[in-house]
Amino acid sequence: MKAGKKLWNLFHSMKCAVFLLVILAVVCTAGSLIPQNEVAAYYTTVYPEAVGHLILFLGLDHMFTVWWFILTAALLCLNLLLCSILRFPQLRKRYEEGYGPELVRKQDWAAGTGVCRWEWKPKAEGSREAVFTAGRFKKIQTEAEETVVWHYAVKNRFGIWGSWICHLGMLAVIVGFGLGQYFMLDTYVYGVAGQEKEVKEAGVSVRIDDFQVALREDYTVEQYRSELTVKELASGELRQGVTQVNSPMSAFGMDFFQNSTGWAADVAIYKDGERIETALLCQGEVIGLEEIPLSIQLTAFYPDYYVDGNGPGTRSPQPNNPVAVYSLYYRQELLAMEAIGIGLPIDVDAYRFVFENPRKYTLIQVVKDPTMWYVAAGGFLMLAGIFLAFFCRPEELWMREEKGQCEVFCRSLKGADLFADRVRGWLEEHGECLP
Amino acid sequence: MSGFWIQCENALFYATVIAYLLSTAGYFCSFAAKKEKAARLATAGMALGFLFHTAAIFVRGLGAGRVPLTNQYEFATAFAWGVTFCFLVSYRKFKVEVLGTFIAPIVFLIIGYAAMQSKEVRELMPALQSNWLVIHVSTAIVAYGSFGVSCGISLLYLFYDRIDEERRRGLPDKQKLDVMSYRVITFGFLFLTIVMITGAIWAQRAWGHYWTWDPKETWSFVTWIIYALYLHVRVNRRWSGKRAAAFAVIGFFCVIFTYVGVNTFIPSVHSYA
Repeated sequence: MKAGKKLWNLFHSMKCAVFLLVILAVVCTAGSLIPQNEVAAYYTTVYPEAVGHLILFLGLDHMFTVWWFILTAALLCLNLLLCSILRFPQLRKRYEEGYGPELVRKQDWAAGTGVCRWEWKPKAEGSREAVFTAGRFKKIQTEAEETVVWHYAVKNRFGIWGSWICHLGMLAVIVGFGLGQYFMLDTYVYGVAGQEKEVKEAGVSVRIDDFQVALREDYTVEQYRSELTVKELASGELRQGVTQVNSPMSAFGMDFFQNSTGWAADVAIYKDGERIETALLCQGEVIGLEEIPLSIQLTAFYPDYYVDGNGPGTRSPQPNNPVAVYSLYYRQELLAMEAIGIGLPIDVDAYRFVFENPRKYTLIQVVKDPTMWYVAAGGFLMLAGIFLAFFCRPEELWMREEKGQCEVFCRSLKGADLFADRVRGWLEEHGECLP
Repeated sequence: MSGFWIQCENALFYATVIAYLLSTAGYFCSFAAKKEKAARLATAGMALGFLFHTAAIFVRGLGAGRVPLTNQYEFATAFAWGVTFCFLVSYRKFKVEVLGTFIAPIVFLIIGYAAMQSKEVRELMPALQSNWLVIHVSTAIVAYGSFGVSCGISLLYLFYDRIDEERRRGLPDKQKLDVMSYRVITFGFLFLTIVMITGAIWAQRAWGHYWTWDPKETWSFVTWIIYALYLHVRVNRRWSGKRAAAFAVIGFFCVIFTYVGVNTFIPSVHSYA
């Protein structure tokens, strides 16, 4: 039972949170240094074999999705949740406790309670108010009891909730992010202007009405811009819009991002001189023939082709001298891989392939993240919490007057020494602190 | 950027470098020879350098027609500006001149790194054409600047016992240095959190995901964790003082690695240099 309680205490303690944060920091560091999501052979060839196997065994090749990383994050969440639940009543009690003279009276001075005390002789009549004003205390309360008069004020009381709010925000961010990984829709659709494609998992079809790449004089890209028409498959409802980098299009609860681009070309297929098929191939795509196991891939594309000692390249992004690099496969074995000008024939027995009409295709990312707003709210809470915790320190100031004698008390739950220094400064400015 | 603006920027930039160099030398002389006047002159030099520096950044911005915060050179010079700015603010608040002995070399090293980078002004790629860039990077400058200052204060703390009695006169005591470092870190931590949040919002707009464990993001997170640990463990009395100071120095090394190391050694979508 004792061990159980110890474990329970440890589990919701700050020590546990610190330990988990250290683990996360170490793991994240390793995850940023080890290339992620490569094929297994990469790790055994790039690293010494034993190290490569260890990386694969521990899942360091997919660090941020490996079970023990998720477990560590889950334990941190549990720790944050327990801390938040257990601290709430204490904070509430502290927040609601009176800050009048009774708080000073019940101090156990011998035990050292964090309340500072001075005897003070004010310079002038208005010096009391001046001290409160110097401390930016707005509402000064006065309470008289027989021969004693109390003046007191408090500020930034809400600040005691700072770290609690921050922890709650962090919890929302981690949980929201984790759930988002499972419930998020993240898919891609690509094509050239005029094409329409169904995105079944999103329940929509996307028609690319136009795609433009705005180039500057030096051929650097100014902007990519896709005009889209999105149709909801269930209702047939249409939405039109434009997506460009940094300005996604929103429709049907989804966002459509301008993600990437590349070259595409039509490939015309002839058999015995007769055109039997024309297909669009985007870079990297393959098309196979139905009659024989022959296929062709648009492997690469150079819009303004040249070759020098370093190999092929392109002088500009404009299609001034367009050349396609194709790969021919027969029974999935590479038959040939060559560069060929647009419009020139590639003959294989009775078949002829001709690349024509090169143009840019656009890659659109379709995202629906149902937890994004929870994460955003969590981020805002974290920020608000940090601000409250460190920049809204609760500060309390009391003055007790009796028969011309004045005692000053102050307390700050955070930065008590600095606050006491400041109070002493104000007291010395507006009077005399007695030894 | 036209030749006129380039010449103006170069002149101001090198005036800044010289001012920071002389200030660094001045602080060292003051520290070694126990001359307070040299420290005061060095602080004036830092302030003058800061003016040149501000003008250099402003001129570059005018010439480029945009906020100059987009490549390694521009961020390095802004980083040095941030550390100087935070140093001058903390000087105004704490009035501890000797801090310059530990902070001026940091500023000089960062601006020296900037001087080694290409100063070419390039047009912005589409992903960088966002107002979030200004908010994200300018808050990073303040955060990193604060951490630079806290590193300087912590170095002073760590060397405090080796400083002879005579030189310690006029210095705040160790407890006050600890509190100063803490205060500056809380300020930097707030801004680092803003950096991460604004970065996440921008990433969401530009790339469709607010967090992808890109090395830059990951290292920012690691830096955030280190300073979060500092703020937590400092609550424990055994951890305030030397250990906390060591944490602050390690944290700043993480900041430097996040900025220089990740851009230089690790492939990242943030490698805009």
